[in-house]
Parts: sequence; structure tokens; C-alpha cells
Amino acid sequence: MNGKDIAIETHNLTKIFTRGNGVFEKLRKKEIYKTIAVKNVNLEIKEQELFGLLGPNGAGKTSLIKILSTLLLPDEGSATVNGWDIQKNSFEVRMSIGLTLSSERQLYWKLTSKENLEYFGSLYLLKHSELKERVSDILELMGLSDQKDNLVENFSSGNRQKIALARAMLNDPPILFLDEPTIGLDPSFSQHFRKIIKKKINKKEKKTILLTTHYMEEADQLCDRIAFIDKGEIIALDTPKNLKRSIDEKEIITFVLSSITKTMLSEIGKLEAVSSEKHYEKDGRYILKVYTESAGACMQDIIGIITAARSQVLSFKTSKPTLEDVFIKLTGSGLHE
Amino acid sequence: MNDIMPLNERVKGELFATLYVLKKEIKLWKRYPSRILFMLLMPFLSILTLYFQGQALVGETQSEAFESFAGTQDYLVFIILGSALFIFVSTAIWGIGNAIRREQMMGTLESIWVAPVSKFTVFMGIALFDGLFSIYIAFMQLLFSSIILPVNLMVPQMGVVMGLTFLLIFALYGLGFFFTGIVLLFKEIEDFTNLINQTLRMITPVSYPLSVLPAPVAFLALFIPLTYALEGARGYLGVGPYRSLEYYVVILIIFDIVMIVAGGAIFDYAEKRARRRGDIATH
Repeated sequence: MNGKDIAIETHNLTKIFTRGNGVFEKLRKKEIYKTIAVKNVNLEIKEQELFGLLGPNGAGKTSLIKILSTLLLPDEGSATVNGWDIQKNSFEVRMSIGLTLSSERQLYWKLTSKENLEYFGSLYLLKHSELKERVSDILELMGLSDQKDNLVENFSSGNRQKIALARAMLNDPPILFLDEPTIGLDPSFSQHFRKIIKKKINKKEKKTILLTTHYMEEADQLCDRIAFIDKGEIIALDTPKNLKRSIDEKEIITFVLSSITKTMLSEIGKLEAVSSEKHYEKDGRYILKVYTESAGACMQDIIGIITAARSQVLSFKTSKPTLEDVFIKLTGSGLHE
Repeated sequence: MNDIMPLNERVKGELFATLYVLKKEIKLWKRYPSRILFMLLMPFLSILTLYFQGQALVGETQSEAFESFAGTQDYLVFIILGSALFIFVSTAIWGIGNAIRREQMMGTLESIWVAPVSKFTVFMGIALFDGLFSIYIAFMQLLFSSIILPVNLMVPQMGVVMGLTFLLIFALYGLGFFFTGIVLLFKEIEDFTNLINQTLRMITPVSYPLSVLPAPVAFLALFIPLTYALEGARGYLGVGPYRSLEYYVVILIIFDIVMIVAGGAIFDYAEKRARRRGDIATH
């Protein structure tokens, strides 16, 4: 570590992708369009913290991780990783981090797990003797020692993801960036993988972890603190508990409806027991979330309004606020849209 | 200067990584059996093609008509040397750039890029593999020609030819860096590589002397290091005009410096641009 107990720090980090401004595109007079990937992001992540970036697809999570891991240059702002400036000290930053990306094909499928790890270990400038020992230890940690001589192409998706995580830890970096680590894994393996991340990597190995996900249960279960990111901006940042507490209402009624009308929404909003509502479309159906102090106090009235508006209640449930509810309340849309 | 890793350890680490890149390339290559068949047959098939082509045109290995263009009657030695040296050019053009393109397509490029190793170390490992491959093909071509065909190329003077080839290789690495830059800039590289490969084969004295080319085309050949490596090698073996060894060595060293610096600068520009645009790994 290069000084303080802050592992990652960003100041107004901004990245805007501009397309259509290349030489050939200009000659063809193509329209220039800009996409804001990361906007004025200010973060402080402490050493050994497991920090989650939670947001829907395209929110800017991967872009932020790529900037911090030096794969992408920011347009504005600055950041330090392990005390090193990401633009001026890219070598030191790379020595301080391990990265797994969400792509499954980040390993050589025609090499064995051991060959993959030895190759990538050499790219982290490990000494020959140290490399062999480290590869053996890391395969042991991941529970893959008995599969060290199997070609990666014969591995399950879950075990490939374990190898990718092992590769990220080869140089024993203090900081790990895990981009959607459980995407594409079946639920039971995801659960197993989360335990590895939390217990073995974060707690036992004492790594600082910045993890991106669009699975709220994952963030809730794993992270010490979470930042919600939407359209490149951090819109909320706190512990999962405090984020859920930020919703004053005790209950949420979620309706799946065949249609939604403005009158219906207006009338539901006027009910005394209802503090607010959010709605969005998903797979051709309409989701209506009603935030209330007591579901029992307003349920009958709401169903009456929906029926009068000639809509059908396809299903409904009441629940306690989740991180997704916090996100919906903040942005008006779900994490999986 | 950083304090995260002492310089001597870093240099050792980079050298060690070069060998691991080479080891990885060999392992990946070995996992596809068809490549071994290609490697075994390719040197012989290419030489036999040249031999039969010559037989069909002049019926022998010597030609007086050829002498009027090339300054030597020994067209078979002329053409075998051309073919052997062009292997190095062809491998350099196809090698590093296509290897990086392959990593891009496999999805492993970002994992390499985020590692602290110098990217030039990775290229050197790939270039070493390409170099070994080229040396094998060229050596087998010369050996096979000397055993089966009525020519003898396994002579002591081949040491000088190897020296000139060694100097040529460095300039070709510069070309390899350039092609890697092209991969990062334009993604697609196959058509471009084919075009350059074919163009170089046409305007350099690989299969025929420069004197058969129209003057403006022959002039272009003066800006390509292969021209000097070929003329120096052939001249030293007595199958073509010759100036002096120093002349060819100095010119090739100048090409080495210019092409490595220029190729490195183009790669550096392309890499920064790709990191700005976020498309290092996009197809």
C-alpha cells in the first residue's frame, strides 16, 4: 500500500464515448453521437472493503471498472488505485490489481488450467519458482487441484469462472475487480461462488474487492457498501441496510397488470395510505409498485380502482423493501430492464 | 522510476514472460494436429513447385536467358533463396498482428492488456515463435533442395546469409508492430495482410530480378529491406550482382532502427486510441 487506508479513490471521473468522429466517418459525413458511460463519479473504497456497483445493463459499471484497471482512458477527472494514479502509473496500478471480466472466453480453452495460470502468472512478472508455487496454491484455494491438467474447454462455466478468478489473484494483488462474477452461472453454483468471494477472497485473503452486478441479492449478500449506478452516475451509496432503510414505507405491493391508465395511477396516488407508486413495462406486462405504510389499509381500494379502469390484476404480492425497490424508487425503472 | 518492483527484477520478469509467451504459442500450436502436417509438408511442396515451374520454362536449372536479367544463370538457387527469405517476411506480416487479432477474437486480449508486462514483451514472444517457425521452413527448404535437387546450398557461406537474415528479421519486427497497430485501429486485418504480402512479393526480387520490373515499381523496392537482404545473400553466394557485405549490413541496420521506431510509434498511437475509444477487445 502506498500510504493511506483508501484503496480506490475517484474524483469526478467521466467517460464519454464519441462515435462517428473518425477520419473515414467524417468523410462520409456520418452523424457524431455521444454516449455518457461514466459521469462525475466520486468514490472512496476502503482497504479490505467488499464494494458493489449495482445497476442495470449499460449503466456504466464495466466502463468504470475498465477505467480503474487502465483498460480505458477517462476523459475527465482522476483516480488512484492502491495509491497510484491510473493514468500516470499504469504499471503500478496493474501490479496492484486482479481483474475478471464478464466474458466467459477470457482463458485459452486449448490449454489446461495450470498452463493458463502459469502463462498469465508470467505476464504478472512473477519469478519462476514463485510462479509454480503460486499456481499450485491458488488451484488448491479454488478446489481445482485435481483438475489442473484438464483442458479449459472441458470445464463447466462455473469452473472456468473459478479459473478466471484464480488468474486474477495470481500476483496476490491487494485489489480485485470482479465484473459480473456470477453472470451465466446456475443459482446453486452462484451461491457457492459468492461464498468463495466473501469468505476466502475478501475475509481470509483480505482483498479489497470492487464487484459489479445487476443481481440485487448478490450485492445485498456480499457487499459492505453499495453504489447504485444509472446512466453513468452514482445515484446512491451506502450499506445495503441503510439503503433499504432509506425507503420510509414498510411494505410494497407489486401488481402485474394487463394495462395501466393515467387516471388509474392518479387515483391510486390520491389514496391516503399510499405514499408513492412506480410503474414500468416488462415483457408486455405492466408492473405497478405501490409504497405504503400498510398494505391491508389500501389493498381493497387499489384493486377497485384497477378493476374500474378495466385492467386485469394478473398477480400481486406484498413484500418488504429490497435493494431493487430502492433502485426503482430512485430511478423509476428496474435493474433488469 | 517506481518502487513497486526493482528494475533488475522487472527485466528478469519481462525476459521470463517472453519465454512463457513462446511456450504458450508452441502449446496452442501443438493442440491442432493439422498444423503439424502443414509444417512437415510445406517446405517440400513449395520448393518442388518452384523446381517444376523452372523445368517447364527452361528445362534445366541454369538459363542463359535468365542471366541477361539477373546476372546469373543459376535461376534455381536464385529462386530458392528468394522463397526461403520471403518466408520470414510473410511470417512477420502474418505473425504478430494476426496473433493479436486471434487473442481479440478469443476474448483473451483484455486479460493480456491489463497485465503489467510490456506489450512489446508479448510481441517478442510471438515473434520468437514466428522466427523459429520461419527458420525451420527456410532451413528445410535449403536442406531439401541440397539433397534432392541439383543445387548445393548447405555451404559455409550460408553463415553470412543467416547473418543478413538475422538483420532483416529486426526490421520485420517493426513491420509486425505496425500490423498490430492496424489490428487495434481497424480490427479486420486479413485482407490488408494479403494485400501487403502480395505487393511485397511482387515489387521485391523474390521470384525475379528487379530489372524485369518497370522502373517506377523497381524504385519502390529500394525502400524495402528484403531487397537488400536478398541481393546481399545472392551476391555473396555468387548468384547475382554484389557490392560489399558492409553495404548490405549498414543498410539493413538503418532499416532495423527506422522500422522498429516507426512500427513502435504506430502501435503506441493505436493502443492509446483504442484505450480512449474503449475498443481494445471489440471485434
